[in-house]
Amino acid sequence: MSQPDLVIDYSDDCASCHERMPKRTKSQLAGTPALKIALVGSPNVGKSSVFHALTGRRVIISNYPGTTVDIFRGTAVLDGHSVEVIDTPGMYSLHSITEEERVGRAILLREKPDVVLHVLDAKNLERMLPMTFQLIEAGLPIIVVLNMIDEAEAHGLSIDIRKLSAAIGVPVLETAASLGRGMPELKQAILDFKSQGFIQPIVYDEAIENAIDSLVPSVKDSPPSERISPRSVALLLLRQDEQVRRLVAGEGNDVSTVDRVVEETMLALPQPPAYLLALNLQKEASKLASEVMTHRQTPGIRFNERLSRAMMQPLSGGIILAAVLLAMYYVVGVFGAGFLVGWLEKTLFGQIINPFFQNTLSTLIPVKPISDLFVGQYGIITLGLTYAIAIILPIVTTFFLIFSMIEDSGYLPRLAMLIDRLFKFIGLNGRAVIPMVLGFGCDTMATIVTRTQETKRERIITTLLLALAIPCSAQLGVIFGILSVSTGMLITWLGIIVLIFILVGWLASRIIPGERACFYMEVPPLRLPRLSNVLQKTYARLEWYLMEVIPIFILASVVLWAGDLIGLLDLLIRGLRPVVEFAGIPAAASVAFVIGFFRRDFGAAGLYALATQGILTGNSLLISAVVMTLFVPCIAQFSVMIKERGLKTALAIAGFIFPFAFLVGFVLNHTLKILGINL
Amino acid sequence: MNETDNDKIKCPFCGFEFDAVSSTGYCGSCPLAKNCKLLRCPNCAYEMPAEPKLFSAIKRLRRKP
Repeated sequence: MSQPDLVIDYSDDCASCHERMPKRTKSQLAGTPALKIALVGSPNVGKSSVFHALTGRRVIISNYPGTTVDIFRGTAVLDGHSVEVIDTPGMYSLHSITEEERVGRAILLREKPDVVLHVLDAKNLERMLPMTFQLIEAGLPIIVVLNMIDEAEAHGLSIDIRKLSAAIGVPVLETAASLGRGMPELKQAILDFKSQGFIQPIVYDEAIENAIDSLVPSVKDSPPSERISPRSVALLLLRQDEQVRRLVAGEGNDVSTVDRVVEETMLALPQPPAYLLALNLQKEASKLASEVMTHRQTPGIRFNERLSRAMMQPLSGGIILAAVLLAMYYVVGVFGAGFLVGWLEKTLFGQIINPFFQNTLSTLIPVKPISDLFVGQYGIITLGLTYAIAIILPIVTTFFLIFSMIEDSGYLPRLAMLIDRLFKFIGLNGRAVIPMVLGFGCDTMATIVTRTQETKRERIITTLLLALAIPCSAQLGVIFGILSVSTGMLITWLGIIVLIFILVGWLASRIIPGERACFYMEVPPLRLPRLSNVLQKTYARLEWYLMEVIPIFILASVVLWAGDLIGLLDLLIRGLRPVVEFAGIPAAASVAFVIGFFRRDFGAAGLYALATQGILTGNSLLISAVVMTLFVPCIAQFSVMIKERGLKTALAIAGFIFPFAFLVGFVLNHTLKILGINL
Repeated sequence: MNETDNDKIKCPFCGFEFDAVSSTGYCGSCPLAKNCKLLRCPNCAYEMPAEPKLFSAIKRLRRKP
């Protein structure tokens, strides 16, 4: 990936605050800028395009103080005036949830911009207006920028900006920043901007308005009210925004009145105030959008929209998901793991490469333990490279190929929305969808991403479910391969894993107390995957995967060889044997579970080899696949669990997963026996 | 990657556009971070491999008049 043409140097670490401070560059203008502008808006509305259109390349990037969030600052020159421009992270509301949203709001509160550009995706005006109302309620000096107007027009949408501006009382402009359209007008509007004073766009229900009236006297002299209106502070308090409450409390201020009013309002209302406020904002937004927006039907769009909706509805979405999984099964399981692995493992490695090296190295290195390092049972060539190239490579190639097509089509966010419904059903926070979907790529990174969730409770539940029931991409590919002998077996495996996921998630969400939160996500348009893009992504993923996996597989072979040589491996396998046999799996599979801790796919590849040797068949094959999927997270994921959740929680999760995986194997084995099922 | 221009990467998960330099926000805790070639969307943290050098070279060649 080409790096941006920026002059960035993080070598000057500020010793006092540890903030990464960029070196002064030629891009920074001397002198104090005449104006300070902040760009705010939801993710994916083209804020960065507006930012770049205003600033060109005069950009510096730094962490926002006390956070890990990067923000972009640049300088624009408007009609000879130097203007500082700050690009804030995406935020959906003034009521902040994620660290990025908190930083976005902190910029509005602390940096005191002279003009706030609220950038909206013109295609989704109705969904974005609630935040506009909030910014107006806050009394911030805003200009509304309807960006991506070209795309809105292509969708047959037109917006009456004069009517919109008159209704909300702030300037409204149309732009297509990536094309430069509307930018001269925007620059002029910034220079001409005059704050029009506070207006009140929305009147809420009586109970909420009464609560606002009661709260305003207590908050009007508080620190947040220096920048945003007391009404806005009151509304944020009613939304139970902890950060704003802390700011209002300040140093020793009495907030007992505030707490009492919030509590009484919550008791008086049938639903939480945050929910009712959001509902009210959205209702007003829908009303206003219908008044200012006209929609001309364009051919070709309706099918996409209908398909998109079908993908997110429970019934049709479930059918589409089943079709996607079936396609994956045929491409990865039947073609990749069946045909390609069969040829590579049995013919190329089994009959040509491995015998050649075994004969050559046995002759060249007469000391058996040394030659075993390369061509023995756990040899670098006969185990490490055979697993990596003959088993894993064809499976992940076909998996990455189909995954890139799915990714390029825009199906993944729709899948996330579909899964969100399931999550709500089992009482989980919808925000868990993102790390869960990411877990199908790599559970290690997905565990890190759980930090985007709101509460500790949600982070623990998601980490547990990731470690327990979400196989990573390579492991998933190999499991598809192992179970490709029977569609029924694959469906049974899927059913068991989904059932355990729901059951454990449901139980955990009931055992650990806490509240749910809303889930917002931008859904980009559906598109036909481009072959060149798909091939490029597949190649990139394969390059990355092989660079990472081959050294690990070689290292694992060496460790296993050494463990075998000193008898440690035998000890481990003997220790694990009773547990494996307890679950109804042949003892020979013990080694696969031991090496599975190095990498999930390494263990799965071990099972694959046992299956091709005929050691694992029928019921034991299904039980092994289930136990291997549920069994311990790999060493990288475990270390991240310790870092993110702490040693106690990580050990508790692993302590639950180890016996639980084998217990499920045991129950499955006996259930199959009782039912007289022989797969 | 779905690039809109040289500097911008479009997240295939949420559609967010970002610069390559802002893609390491989540990497601090990862034991593989040092040698990792993956890019992460700063909006949703979805990860994707960086554009292979081979493809960049081909693109550069094609751009030359």
